[in-house]
Amino acid sequence: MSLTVTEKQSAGGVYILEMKGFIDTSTSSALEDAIKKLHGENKTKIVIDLAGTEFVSSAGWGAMVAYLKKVRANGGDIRLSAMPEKVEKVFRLMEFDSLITAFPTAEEAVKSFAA
Amino acid sequence: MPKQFSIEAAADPQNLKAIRGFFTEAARGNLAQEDIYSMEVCLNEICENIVRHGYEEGEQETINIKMRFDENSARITITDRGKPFNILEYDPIDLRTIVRKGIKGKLGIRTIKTICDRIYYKRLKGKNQLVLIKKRKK
Repeated sequence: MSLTVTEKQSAGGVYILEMKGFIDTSTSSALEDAIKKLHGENKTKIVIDLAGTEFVSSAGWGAMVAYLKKVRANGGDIRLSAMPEKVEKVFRLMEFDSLITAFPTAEEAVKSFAA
Repeated sequence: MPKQFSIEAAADPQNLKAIRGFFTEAARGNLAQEDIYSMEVCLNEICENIVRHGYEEGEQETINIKMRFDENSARITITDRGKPFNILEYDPIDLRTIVRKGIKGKLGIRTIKTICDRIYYKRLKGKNQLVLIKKRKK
């Protein structure tokens, strides 16, 4: 298994990208393609659910960050959910939390778009 | 007694997972659990950089990794024959600049410089030799 990305539509026009596997330079294009596809369809409220993700390299974070400005310019956002503890520690250490908001669950991330 | 491990792998993106797996197995019991993942990330960043930028397409080259764990620190030495690249010459990019410009790269250097306690680089006989050090928590 490398990386499986599953797109799910949720309430309020929010789309969840469920990640399963690992995100490094050999797999990050799958994540980037999924974000690009949603953005191209003007679906800009995006939750990236990392519950099934064992590893995220800078290639993965870069794929998310590269689209932040574009989706926000179209009234949307990219938000994260269910990061494994070890991944979240590095996420916070790197101060990525100053750029992307993370939630404990996908449900909370989806609800945050209604707030 | 220090514990030492080494691995050599082809510079291929498909080998990154195996390199990470080798490191996490070697580090288990020899580094604090919370530092194992962060150093796994750093090692991966260096290997990703070598794989993506170190060699011309089609070159059959390798990455050699030596790990040494003692009571004070973990020391990872990564050697490759790729293009010269001294990470110490590059400043970590500002996160807001990355967002503003929509850049998807350049986060690896920031990651390594944030996590590692010490970094050394040498270019020796046509090889890059990079040393990453993480102090062990007492």
